[in-house]
Amino acid sequence: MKSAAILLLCLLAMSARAETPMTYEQLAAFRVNDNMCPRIDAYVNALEHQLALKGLTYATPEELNDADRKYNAEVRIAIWALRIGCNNPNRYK
Amino acid sequence: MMKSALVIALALVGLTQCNQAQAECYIRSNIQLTRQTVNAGPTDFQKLVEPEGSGKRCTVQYRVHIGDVWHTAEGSGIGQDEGSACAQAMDIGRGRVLAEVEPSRVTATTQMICSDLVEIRIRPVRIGEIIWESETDMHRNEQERRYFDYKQTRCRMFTERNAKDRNLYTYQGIICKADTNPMGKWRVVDKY
Repeated sequence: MKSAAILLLCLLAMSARAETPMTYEQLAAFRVNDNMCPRIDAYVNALEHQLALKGLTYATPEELNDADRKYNAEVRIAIWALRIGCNNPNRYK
Repeated sequence: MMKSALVIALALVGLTQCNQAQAECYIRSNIQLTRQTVNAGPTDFQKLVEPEGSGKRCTVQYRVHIGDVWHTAEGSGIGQDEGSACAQAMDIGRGRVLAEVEPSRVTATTQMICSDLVEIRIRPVRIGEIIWESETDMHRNEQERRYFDYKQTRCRMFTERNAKDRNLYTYQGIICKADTNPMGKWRVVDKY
């Protein structure tokens, strides 16, 4: 589980360096877990960078096409899962 | 003779007291029962206090989410001061919501309310907007309905259903308290 988290962080970092956004399929495979909490800032920054690469930082969901709406939702769901889960450790137990 | 009459009188007084105590317990158990079904609130308090004779008239309006619906509690009370008038108004409001939600269990008197307080309804919201909490629906997923802390602020998730081009979209988002006032408004932090 921990190695999967590190692998994902590497993938996010590589994607950020390459200035190429991750695909929707790669994002959809993203699974948040407790092991990510110590590096939450790195994960959130990397995910927010994905939004920036797609021009979705200030997106209004009603104005997006289907593909962008799904991508935007997938990234933000992951961001909030990290923020909520790591700040409220008993929420999902 | 005198002694037995006194005993009977005391027994009658005791019986009356006993009945009153049972009546109080009945009302309390009603409120407790209903509280189990409350998902959120009371929230979005609005209050209007006006002079009334030598005292005050207080009209309150607030929202409670019970079952799958936001209910508006409204009540008006008259008292010597603002505190007692508003406490009475809150009680009447609570009784009216209970009567609406569980009519078989509550006997409440109806009351005509006339006030300029804003009527709050669920509506589409935008990121950054300052809103009443009950302008957003509770999250469809019950697990996600609980409040959580983010940056030392009380927040919750919401869902919003919106029709566009004959398709029904469900968005979700995050709202957080806009200030430290417990009766205050909320900010739409994200929506996706």
